[in-house]
Amino acid sequence: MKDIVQNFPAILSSQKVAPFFMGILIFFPVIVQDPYVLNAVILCMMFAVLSSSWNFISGYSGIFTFGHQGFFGIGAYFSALLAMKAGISPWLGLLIGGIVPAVLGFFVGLPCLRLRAAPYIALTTLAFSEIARITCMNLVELTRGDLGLWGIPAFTDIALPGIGSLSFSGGSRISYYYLILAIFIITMVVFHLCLKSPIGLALRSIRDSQEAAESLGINITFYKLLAFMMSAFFAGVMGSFYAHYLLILTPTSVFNVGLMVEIVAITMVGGFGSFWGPVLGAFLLTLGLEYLRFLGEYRFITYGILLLIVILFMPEGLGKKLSRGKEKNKGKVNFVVS
Amino acid sequence: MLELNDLDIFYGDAQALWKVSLLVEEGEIVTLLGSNGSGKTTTLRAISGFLRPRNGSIYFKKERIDCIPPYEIVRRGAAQIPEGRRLFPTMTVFETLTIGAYIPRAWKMKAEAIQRVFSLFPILEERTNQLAGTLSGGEQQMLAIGRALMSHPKFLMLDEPSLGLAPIIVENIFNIIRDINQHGVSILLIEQNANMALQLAHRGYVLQTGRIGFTGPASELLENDQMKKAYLGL
Amino acid sequence: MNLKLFLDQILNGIVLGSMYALFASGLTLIWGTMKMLNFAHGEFYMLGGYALYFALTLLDVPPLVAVLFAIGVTFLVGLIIERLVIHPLLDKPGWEVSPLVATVGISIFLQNFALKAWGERYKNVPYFIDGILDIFGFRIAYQRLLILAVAAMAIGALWWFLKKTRFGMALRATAQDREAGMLIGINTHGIYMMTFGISSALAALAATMLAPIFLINPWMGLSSLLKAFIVAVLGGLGSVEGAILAGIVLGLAESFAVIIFSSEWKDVFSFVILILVLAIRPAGFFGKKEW
Repeated sequence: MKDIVQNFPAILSSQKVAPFFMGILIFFPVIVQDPYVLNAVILCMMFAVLSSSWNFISGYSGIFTFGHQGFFGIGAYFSALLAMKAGISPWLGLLIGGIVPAVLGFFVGLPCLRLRAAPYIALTTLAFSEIARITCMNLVELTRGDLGLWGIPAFTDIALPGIGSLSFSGGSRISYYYLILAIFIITMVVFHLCLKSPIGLALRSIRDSQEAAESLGINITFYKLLAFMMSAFFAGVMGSFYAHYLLILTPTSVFNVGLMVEIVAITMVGGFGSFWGPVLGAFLLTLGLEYLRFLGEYRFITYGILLLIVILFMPEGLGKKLSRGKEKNKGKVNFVVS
Repeated sequence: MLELNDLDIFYGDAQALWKVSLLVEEGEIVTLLGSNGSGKTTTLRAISGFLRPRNGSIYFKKERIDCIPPYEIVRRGAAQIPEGRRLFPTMTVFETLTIGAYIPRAWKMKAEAIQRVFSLFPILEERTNQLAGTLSGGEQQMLAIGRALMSHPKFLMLDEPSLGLAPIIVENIFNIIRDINQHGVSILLIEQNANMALQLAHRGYVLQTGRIGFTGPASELLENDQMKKAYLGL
Repeated sequence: MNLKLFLDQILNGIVLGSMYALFASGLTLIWGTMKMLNFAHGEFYMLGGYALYFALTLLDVPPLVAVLFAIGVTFLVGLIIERLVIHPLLDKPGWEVSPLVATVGISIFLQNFALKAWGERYKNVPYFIDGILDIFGFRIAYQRLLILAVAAMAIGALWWFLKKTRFGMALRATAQDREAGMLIGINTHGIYMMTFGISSALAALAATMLAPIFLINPWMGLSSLLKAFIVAVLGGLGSVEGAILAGIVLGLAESFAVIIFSSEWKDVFSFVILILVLAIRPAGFFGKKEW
């Protein structure tokens, strides 16, 4: 069992499994059209993007934030309000929903630059997220507070060359599915390229030893802020998608600390600091808990216990062990899960 | 009193000590010499229970101690004054000595013990309410020794007590160490200052990159040119 | 603003602040000694509240006994959780982060456990002392005077414990240099367990005092936790004197902020203070340089 857990990220990152997995995702709606199931997979992909973007700054860059839900919520509200009050197309909203949090991410990152210990950074980012939440709650004329924002416009139909028109109205989830799939793929590609590039190298060296990185001439401030902005961007895009998918928003639902806990749980279970780990965790936990629907209200208790079990029994504790495990297991790429 | 038998100590996969054997008889002052990185502090850490040997054993007063926790080792009467003194910065001199008597059997007798420490180090009595972090180097070393004495140890380990101190203060401290020894405390002294250490000690060992290279009565080691060459590069 | 309102606000601020102080002291004690952030601290507060409620309603004992019961039960829960969940993590690699994550898990578990076990309806606990003291036309509820008295006693007891007792000194020593503490015979694992227990007990005490005013519910932990963080950071993580001073300062500041802004923005005010402190002077009032 230990070996399987240790090798999961390695299994996924092997050249064979990832394309296979993506292939399944792409052709899935051709086989299954049940809106309930599609909805579940859409949620999986949402959490995959959310967790991967959090993992980018916490697992890969070593900056343990605890306010990711803030960027998610800001993206959601900006996109929704712009659509409702200014008539801006949700498609543009997706982009704006990413950019605004990215800019805010810069400012959130500023006070965090001097801080090293995880709890200080976690508190600062949590404080920002809470400020966003309370602000949303209080600006009742704008957001209707906790009564909720209803009737958010859905994505408008678009015509894709060769495929025809994609409709987002009605009960069909298929268009949403492919939209989120596209975003998911873009996200993973962007992060993959980033991590392979000098940016990724710089971030990992900052994580492993800030002093060493500095002495090598790496501009710590630049890379840390970049990490903040990038992770915030994708969280915000998810928020925007969420708003135009659910068509309803409340501050409590999007700025929820519980959401942050889910992201942490998913990333830890899947593999903190590994590339496909958060994706694995997202699908595992989200689907798993969907099928355990009868546990219903016990969902969060389950998350709590899962988190505890993983933390307590992971072979060598968190973090770097898993990425090192990947290197150690490079030779064992053909490990079979029996 | 203290016996190390063929100790192998590892840090992860890196070996730091190879088959180190060492003996401190009751009433002796033994010095462990060696250049930086030779493994002296590692040896002390192993004796105090912070490192578990992969092979070999450590006996104290005929009982095996290499697998018991540090606090238990102190309770049995083996105290260490670590490298860099490791005082509690915001505790006063008096508080430091008081907490030095933490173990139950020492706690009851702490008032007398403090008086004895003050008679050994009168300057500490003058500074009794001063914060440990504000003392001079020499005073800090005295406080560190005093703190260790509060637990009534039968065996005392000192890790580089002369570090960063002026020669005259070092001489003073070494005299006090001799004094403590004469009151029945066996001593294991780690030092870079080989000359002074060998003048104080009865016997000595020399560590070279994790292995015991030389051993013998202190007077012999002082004369030993071969050792000086290998150890001091002369 | 007239004098009466002004004095009233000052009193309110000090009463609330003194409870913030106690509550945050527990959090800062754990940080100082064990170098970890207990994200479940709020849930001990909540447990204290529920324990008080059940002692008063089910066991039907007088308030003093109920308060002691609540403190005792929460103390034990704190000990158990430290031993079972935290202790194994502190010696493993990743110890800088894993206890924090574990307490997040515990927090979520306890919150939802309370929700499932005791329901979502807010629970009511009556004032321990009814009545109002009238001095020169200035009126103070006896309950609030009681809170002040308890706070003073608790802070005094905590000070005496840390400064004068063998265990308290050992705790301080461990906080300042863990290994040096081990070298004088301190069993750090025992210290850690007790620290967790004491911290939980402090949280429970604050809860018992505030329960008649704020009502008991499964989420009371989370909101108070953020407050505790702010106070602890403002005072300097690890410094109990700092937490006490900061608690009272924040209590007073909040009282006046409510007048100037309004109660909905009160929390934003506190969070902004937190961010400013962390940005400008992470060490707070009396903290050490180790962020």
